Amino acid sequence: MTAAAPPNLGRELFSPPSDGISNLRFSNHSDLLLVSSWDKSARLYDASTNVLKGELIHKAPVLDCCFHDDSSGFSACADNKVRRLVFNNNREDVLGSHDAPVRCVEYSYATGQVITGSWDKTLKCWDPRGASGQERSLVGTYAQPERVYSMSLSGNRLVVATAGRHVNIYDIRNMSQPEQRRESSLKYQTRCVRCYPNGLGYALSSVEGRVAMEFFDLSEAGQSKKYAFKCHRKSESGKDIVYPVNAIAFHPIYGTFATGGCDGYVNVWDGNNKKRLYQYSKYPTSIAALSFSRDGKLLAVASSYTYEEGQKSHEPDAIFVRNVNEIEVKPKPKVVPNPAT
Amino acid sequence: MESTCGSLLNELQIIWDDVGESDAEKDRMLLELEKECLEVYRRKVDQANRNRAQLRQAIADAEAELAMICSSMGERPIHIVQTNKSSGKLRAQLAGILPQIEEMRKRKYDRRNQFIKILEDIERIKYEIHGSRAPNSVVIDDTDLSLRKLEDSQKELQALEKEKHERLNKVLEHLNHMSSCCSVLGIDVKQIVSEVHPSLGGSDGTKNINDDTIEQLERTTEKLRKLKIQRMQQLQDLATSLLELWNLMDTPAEEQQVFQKVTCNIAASEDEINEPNLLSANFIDSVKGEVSRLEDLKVSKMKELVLKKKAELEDLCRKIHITPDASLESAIDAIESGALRISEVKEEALRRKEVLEKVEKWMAACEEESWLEEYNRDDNRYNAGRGAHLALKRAEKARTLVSKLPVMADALASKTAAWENEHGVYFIYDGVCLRSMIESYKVLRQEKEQEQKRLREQKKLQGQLLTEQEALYGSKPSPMKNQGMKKGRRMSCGGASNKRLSLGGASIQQTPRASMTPLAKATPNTRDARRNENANLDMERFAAHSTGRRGLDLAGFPMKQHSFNLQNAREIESTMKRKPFSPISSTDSSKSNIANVLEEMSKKQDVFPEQFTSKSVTPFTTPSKPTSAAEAENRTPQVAAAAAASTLPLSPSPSTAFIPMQTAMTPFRSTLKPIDNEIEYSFEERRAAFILSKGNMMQV
Repeated sequence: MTAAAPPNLGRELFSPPSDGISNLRFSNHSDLLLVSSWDKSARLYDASTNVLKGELIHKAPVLDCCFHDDSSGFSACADNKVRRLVFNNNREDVLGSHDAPVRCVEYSYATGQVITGSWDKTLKCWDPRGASGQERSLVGTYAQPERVYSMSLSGNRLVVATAGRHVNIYDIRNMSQPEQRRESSLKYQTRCVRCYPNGLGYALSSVEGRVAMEFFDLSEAGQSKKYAFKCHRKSESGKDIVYPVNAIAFHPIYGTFATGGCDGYVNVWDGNNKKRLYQYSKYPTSIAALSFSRDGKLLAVASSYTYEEGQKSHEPDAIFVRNVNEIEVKPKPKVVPNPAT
Repeated sequence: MESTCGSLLNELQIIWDDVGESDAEKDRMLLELEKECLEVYRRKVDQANRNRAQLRQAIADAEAELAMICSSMGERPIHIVQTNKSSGKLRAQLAGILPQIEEMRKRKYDRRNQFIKILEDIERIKYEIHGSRAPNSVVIDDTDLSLRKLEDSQKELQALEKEKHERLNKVLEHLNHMSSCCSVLGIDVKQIVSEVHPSLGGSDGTKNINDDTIEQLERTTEKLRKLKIQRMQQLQDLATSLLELWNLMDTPAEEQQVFQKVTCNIAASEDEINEPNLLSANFIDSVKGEVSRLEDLKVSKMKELVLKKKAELEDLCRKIHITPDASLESAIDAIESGALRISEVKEEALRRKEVLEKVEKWMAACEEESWLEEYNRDDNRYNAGRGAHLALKRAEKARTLVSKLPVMADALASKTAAWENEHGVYFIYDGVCLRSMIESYKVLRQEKEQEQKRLREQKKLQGQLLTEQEALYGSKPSPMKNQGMKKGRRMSCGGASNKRLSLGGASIQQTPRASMTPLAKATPNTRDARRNENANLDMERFAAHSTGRRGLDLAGFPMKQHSFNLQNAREIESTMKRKPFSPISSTDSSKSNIANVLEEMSKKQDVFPEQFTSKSVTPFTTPSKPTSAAEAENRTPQVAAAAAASTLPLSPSPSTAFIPMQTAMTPFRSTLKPIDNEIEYSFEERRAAFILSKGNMMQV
């Protein structure tokens, strides 16, 4: 860790995962950062002091992770198991297991439940307070039309994106069946789905350099607001190179959002005004995950090859934490004419 | 006074005493006396008062006049202030003002005269220039005689004088030109000039310079010039004939000498011909005479020749006792009639000239029109290439020209009609009636317009369809892309090179892992710039190779399987229509890449879950399906960004510029479409499968 990252990328965290980063998330209470990786580890960093506070090694690659409180979290593992991780005393409890690798995990502060999505085409809800053992902690299993690829929770709304471009929207108080069943507006495989902080809708990105902005409101007025836009493309001498959009992260204060793609760029967008606010300089490799800190002052960027071109040599995996300037994320009022165009 | 009054009173007292007037009478008379005295005083005072008032009035009048004069002259009335009431006595004041007034009056008079002179001049010149009305007597505004106005008037006068001078020059120029023209043409210049205006003929200075005259002069000059050109052409035609004839008949030099000045001007331009009388009617007639004389001579000589030959023939015939035929007689007739016909056609050409010019213009415009149509059909017309800007310019010009075409055709038609009326015959153009040509053109044009209208509507419809599609699927094929696609295909599918490539791929397959490290070979690592010179070729080869390698790594497939894979990949290459994740240039290579991976995936689809859970080694025994999966909408694409990534552009500095999103409306779909049977995999699933298979390999 001698080579310091160029300053314009942000601060690079020491002792990063040794293989692809599957996800990273800031805590809702502090600047702690939870990172899951293909190197079978789940790590807890203090992003403000750049210290690795804990590391738990799993039996298989960790595909997702989320916080429970500042000292504990949950992991979704390729060994099909859902675990609760306690970093204070390096303990892990298995909440239960799916029939296939677990792809996503979310924790609902509202219901106190853990929700996991798996490639076994199911969603499962867990009560982490139950004594160890699947029979006790499993709350329910809900069949999905396809393998779960991405999931996002906001308030009581849960959006589940699966293979086959299905999107199911649940009210987590009634998981028996989806509130809405939709098909993705985008033509290609879903990469990432994230709810708006205001709970009115969700953004969905695809492998074909495009992001759809969707709204829960099914009325005509509500649906008229939806749109999709192209991003993470490169135009070279008339040829378009299109990159997957791996990550979306909403700014908790302003509601603007950052997207990260396999082109190594992080773009910040103002969804209401349909404007790009900022583009950070290029990262060494694909952007695997993004997360804003609770106050929106920090942005964690996972620069990590996402296997879009199969097995190959690639830049080392790295986590950058950058300070966010207001100008980069604050929506600009519509009335100001854009001098650039 | 006092004494005389007193003594008179005493005297009166004494008289009254003597008379013995009563006191009452005395008092009455005294009162009367007093009254009369008072009256006399009052009269005097009144008179004096009147005088003073008059004096004041006079002063005021004088001051007013002075002020008026000063103001009219535009000067400040300082004098009044100086001589103001301070000096006291009214008479003195008046005496002070009067000379000033005199002075100012005199100056005013002078100034007025100046004005009159200038204004008269102005009027006179104006009259000369415009000549519309007689110079009216100048009216002078007495209230404004200021120096500034004088200057203004002077400036006006100067400007007018300048204009006059210019006009005079122009007139003189015209006159000069006319006189030179006339001398060349052998026309009396004086007569022509005085036709324009009698004053111009005189040699004295006064020349009429008004607009009418100048315009007439211009017209006359132009007329003369035209005449000159016409005669010049005539003369030059004659000169050409002369030269031909001279040449033909070896005319002796002394005979040529007379017309040398004609022939030496054969190629002269209009202003080069200055010799007097060179173009006069007489001279041209004489040249004409010479030409016709020579023509006659020629004909007679030819006749002579023919006759001579005839005589010779007859002689010969007689000698050998054959009757001669009459063919030579007709030859002589032909010579005569031919000469006649030539002159007829020449006349005809003259008559047709005007219409013919118009026809030529029209034809040229039609040609441009057809070129433009051709150009508009070219989809690549806006591509930057050599000469594209020239074509663009030409198209611009052609468009304006084409827009004028209908008018042009109409004008030509009417002109032709007029010509036909005048001459009483149809105007025949290359054996076709010109008017019918125009008519058929008009009909053709109408048809074309209708066709175009139809096409436009069709295009509009297509556009609507496209936007609907865009809304549905969020992507619209751009013409650029198509073009790139075409190029890409040509590059990588073209016959010979492709053959060579596939051969190369096969040979590598047969010697797997010969020289490269597995990882380097496994994926087209095109980030590596050195390897990227020929990205297309390399990628294709790597793709083929990676199939092979993978097969080996994963399951140790026999070689046949690989070649089958390769074949499959090729098939897909040609059947696949669209793949969104790759630069177009490397289209096909990435396609085959995708195809390979997909194929592999689809092969694995049955065994994948067990593999994953049981970690057992399951050889790939299922034969590879024909990959309909390759055309799947939701296939997992291989990002072929690598080709471009090798030459990393300067990473753009973070910009705060506001960039609008490229957005499109998305349709709402509440109903789910039944999904086809193909299997898609996310990057993570493929990664997991890879890790698993690696684990398997290790276990094995």
